[in-house]
Formats: sequence, C-alpha cells, structure tokens
Amino acid sequence: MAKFGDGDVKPLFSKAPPLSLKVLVFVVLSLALMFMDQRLDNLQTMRLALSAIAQPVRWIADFPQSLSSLGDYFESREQLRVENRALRRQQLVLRAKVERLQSLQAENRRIRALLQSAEALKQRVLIAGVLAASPDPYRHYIMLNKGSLDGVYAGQPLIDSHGVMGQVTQVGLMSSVANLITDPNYGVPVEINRDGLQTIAEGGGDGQLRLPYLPTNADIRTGDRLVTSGLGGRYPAGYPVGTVTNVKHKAGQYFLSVRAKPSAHLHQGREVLLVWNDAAGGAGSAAKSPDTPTPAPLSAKP
Amino acid sequence: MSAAARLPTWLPVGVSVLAALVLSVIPLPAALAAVRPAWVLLVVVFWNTTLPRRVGVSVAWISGLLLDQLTGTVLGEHALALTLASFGALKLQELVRTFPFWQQGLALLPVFIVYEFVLFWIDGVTGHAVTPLWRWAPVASTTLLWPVMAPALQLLDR
Repeated sequence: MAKFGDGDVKPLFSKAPPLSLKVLVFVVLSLALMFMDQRLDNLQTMRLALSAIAQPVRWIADFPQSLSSLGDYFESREQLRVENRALRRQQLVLRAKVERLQSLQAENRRIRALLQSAEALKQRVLIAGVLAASPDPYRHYIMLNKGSLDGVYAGQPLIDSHGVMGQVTQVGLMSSVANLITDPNYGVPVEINRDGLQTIAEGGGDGQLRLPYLPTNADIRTGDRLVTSGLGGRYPAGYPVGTVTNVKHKAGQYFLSVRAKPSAHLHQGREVLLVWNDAAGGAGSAAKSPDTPTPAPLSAKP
Repeated sequence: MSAAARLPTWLPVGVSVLAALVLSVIPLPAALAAVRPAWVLLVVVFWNTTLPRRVGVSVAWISGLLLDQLTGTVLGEHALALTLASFGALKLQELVRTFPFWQQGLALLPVFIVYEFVLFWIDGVTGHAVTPLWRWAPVASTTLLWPVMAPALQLLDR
C-alpha cells in the first residue's frame, strides 16, 4: 500500500491554499469567461489557442470514420461498373443541361449589364469536410475542417448542392463551427419564389423551419419554394432554403403558422460548400470589413 | 514528494482525461447521443476521490475548458460545472472511499446532478433552453457506468 504513503493522506499542516478558496477562484474565472464569451465576444485569441490544443482530440474522435471510409476501396468491381455506367449517362444529361445553362447565364449577364446591376455572378467557394455533427442532440451545428488559415470567417454562409445549410459561427485555426438553419436561435431572410413575398425563416428546433411573421392575408401555399432574399447581406440571394409544407391559420391569431422543410440535406453527406458573399459588399472584402467581425446571429426576433 | 515520484501519477490522469474528451465528442446516433454519459465528469471525479491530494479542482477546470471548446458551448460552462462537481467529490471522498464500487456511484449521484444542473442552467441563460426529461439521462448513465469504469480506472493507477 505504497499509495497511501505518497500524498494521499491529508497533511496536518498544509501550505497549499484552502480548497474553498481555489474553488472560488475557478468559479469566478469561469463566470468571467462566460460573460466575456457571450456578451463581449472578445475571446477570439483564446478560442484559437484552445482549438489548436483540442485539435488532436478531434482527430482521434474522427478516426473511426476515416477507417470506415477505407471500406470504400473494397467495393466490388461489378458494383463499380454499374455505377460507372450510370454516372456516364448522368454526365451526358448534365452536360447538356450545363450547356443550356451557360447560354442562359450569358443571356442573363447581358440583361443584367443592361440593367446596370452590379451583382457578381461568379462566386468564390471552398469545399469543406464535415468533421462532426453536434454531439449534443439539442443543438444544431456541425464542425468543419476548414478554419481561419483557409480564409473562413465568422458569419460565412454554408450551402450544399440542394440549398442553404447555415452559417459559420466560430472560427478556429483549422476547424470551424457552423450553425444550421434549423437552430431555433437563427433566422434566414427569405423570399417566396412564386411571388417575391419577403419574410424571415427561423429554425424550428426539430429539423423544420418556421415562418412566424406572415400576416394572415399573405399569399403563401403548401409547396411554395423559399429562396434567400439577400437582405441583411449575410446570405447571397437566390439559393433555395426550403419548401413550405404546412400553412395553418388559427382563429384569433394575427400571424399564420407556416412550416417549411429545409432543401439542404442537413444531416447527410460529408462535404459542404463555403460561399464568399461578394455580392453583399463587393470585392470579397465584405466579410472582413470591420462591421461584421462577430458571429452575431441574424437576429430574427424583432 | 519528489518530482520523480510525481510523474507516473500524471500520466494515467492525463491519458484517461484525454480518452474521456475523445469519447465525449465521438459521433453517435441521435438516440444514443441523448444518453451519452458525462465521460469527463466520471474520470475527473474518479481521480478526485482516488488521489484527492494530487488531482483537485484545477484539473477539473482545465478539462472543462477543453470540453467547452470541443463541444462548442460558451467558454467556461463545462469548466464551472466540473469545478463545482469536483468540489463536491473532494468533500465526499473520505466517505465515498469506504463504499464498494456499486455504492460509490449512488453516493456520488448528488455530484452528478449538480454538474448536469449547472449545464442545464447555463444553457438556459445563454439561450439554448431545452427542458425534456431526456436532458437528465446522462446523470443516470454516468451513475450506472461508475461501477464498471471505476475498477477499470483503478487498474491505471497501479
């Protein structure tokens, strides 16, 4: 029982500060950190340092998934051939579509030029891998493997091939955290594709979106498609956000209760696109301008 | 206490805390994630009760800060919860060490509840309020896991 000899037993006269004092110091420190992080939002350097320390932990946690992707090497030949054939066919169809799109794009550019619209058509994008989804089932965010070293900034919009996914809220050196549009604390300025009606879509907290600010006489139907309106300057305009699934008017309420299903496949896929919203402020510097350095959510609450 | 005698103590503590951090962020299906035990709490409280003169609230606070960064919560949330839990564990350790493992988990139940309550409370203050009963599932899973994990961690100590 050497264990009890070397330090497990309470010495009679201890020189260390008393336990309650240490606890008090740490409690005050924690409270101060929380206040600074939540209200003043000036802990960026500390977050960067911590994220560098925590990075190896994340790599280890991600390791089983990298292992499972090794299994892809051993897919059978037949399966690959079938897939290859299907992809070839698909590519043919897509190429035809792209050619049509290009002509449309050219036409669009001409018309826009006529309108003297300064909207940028080319957008800078970056493909980021999803490291992890929120380990807490009550929060809606994902972690990405790109950080400030790759030019990611807080507030940057995030899309997949089907629509808007969310926005970056915290940036580390080589990783970042992005909130999904289904998070109840965030909102996206949207417009209805059919008639241009503008409103705000909030996260429902249950994988759905809510449109809480529509008056009862608003022209909206089940099946309407929502796209980003570009107002607020955070999300570029014209990306699909969701489809209206349910419009209800409860008697006596001033607002409609509208629900929508997000277009983006929020919990599928391992890759997302980070978009530089050049259209908002021009020349790519919009995001780095001093008035938008914080991950302030697009506050939807009036 | 010489420096040479000290080194081997910190190794198992560091390794187990690191493993707990990994287990706390490893991706799980949604159904399992709700009952994911508070691994870091379990490990920190274990070392608090086993080596109370060596592993104190500082270890708890630093592990909590790393956990905050990893889980994306407001900085200081898990640090505060772990500090308070660790304080409770240090107060209870003389009592707890007299119990067999399966009773230790129950004796430490108040500590686990305090930890989860602090998280729940700060989540509410910072605008992430959730109130389903499932929020308390980690308390149960941590308590149930104690009789298994404590003997396993004890092997590390030798």
